[in-house]
Amino acid sequence: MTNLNFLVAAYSVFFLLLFAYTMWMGARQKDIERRMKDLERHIDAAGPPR
Amino acid sequence: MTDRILGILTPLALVAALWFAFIYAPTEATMGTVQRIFYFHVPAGITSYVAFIVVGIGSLMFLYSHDPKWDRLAYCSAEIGVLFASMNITMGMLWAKPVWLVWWTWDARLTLQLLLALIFISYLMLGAYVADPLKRGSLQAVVGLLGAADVPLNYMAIRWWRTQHPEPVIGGGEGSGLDPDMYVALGVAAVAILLLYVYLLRRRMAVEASSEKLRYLEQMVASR
Repeated sequence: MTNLNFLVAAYSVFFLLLFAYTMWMGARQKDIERRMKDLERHIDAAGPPR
Repeated sequence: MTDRILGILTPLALVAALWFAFIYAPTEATMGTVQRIFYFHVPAGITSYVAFIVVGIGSLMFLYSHDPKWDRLAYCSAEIGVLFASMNITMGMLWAKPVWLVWWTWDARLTLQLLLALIFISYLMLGAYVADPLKRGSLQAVVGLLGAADVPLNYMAIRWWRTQHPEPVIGGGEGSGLDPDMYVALGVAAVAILLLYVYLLRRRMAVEASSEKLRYLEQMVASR
């Protein structure tokens, strides 16, 4: 590997890790929103508490 | 609003940092172009220190007040701190191989930085194993404080023990320092990566707040 390859690899690692983390965070947010909607539907279907 | 401004400002700052690192900064005489790893490797390390100190402050405040917002701050900051520490270590290894001819050496700075990352990985794992929020927060706060105590030791490692890792270029002794253009490039990258930390922390805390709200609603439904 030449010096330039190491340089490109280092910056690629930086941005890949950043990309992976933001993707994971976005997926988590979407999952929470989905579960929240399911819960609301469940509450609406169940009616008022006994 | 703040998130929106940060969301626009952070990518712009990162692009500017890349321009300064690759085009503006001069090529270093001994190491050549691979030295440009320095402009993101060092700020990633500094940002991991900032993140872990925030964990220490959040942990201390949680132990004092038992307010969950401090636990949330500490937990989210630890996660982002591990991300930046991983970037710092990996970029360092990719810099070490062509310059030191080894990927890794058990030098004081390298070992302490790895230890710091491992302490905070164990901090995050602890959070996954304890269900009771108060117990989990308290246990994590103790580990968080221990981890934060490693930060000054890590910072001083290259000053106290002269081993493989280069001497400090900022705040070092006589003969240390950088070319003024390199200082500018490093400064821009440091600001960009600190902005990235603040943005990620705010976004992550918003996700964690939604997650806590969901847990609360699920408990309410289960108890009906």
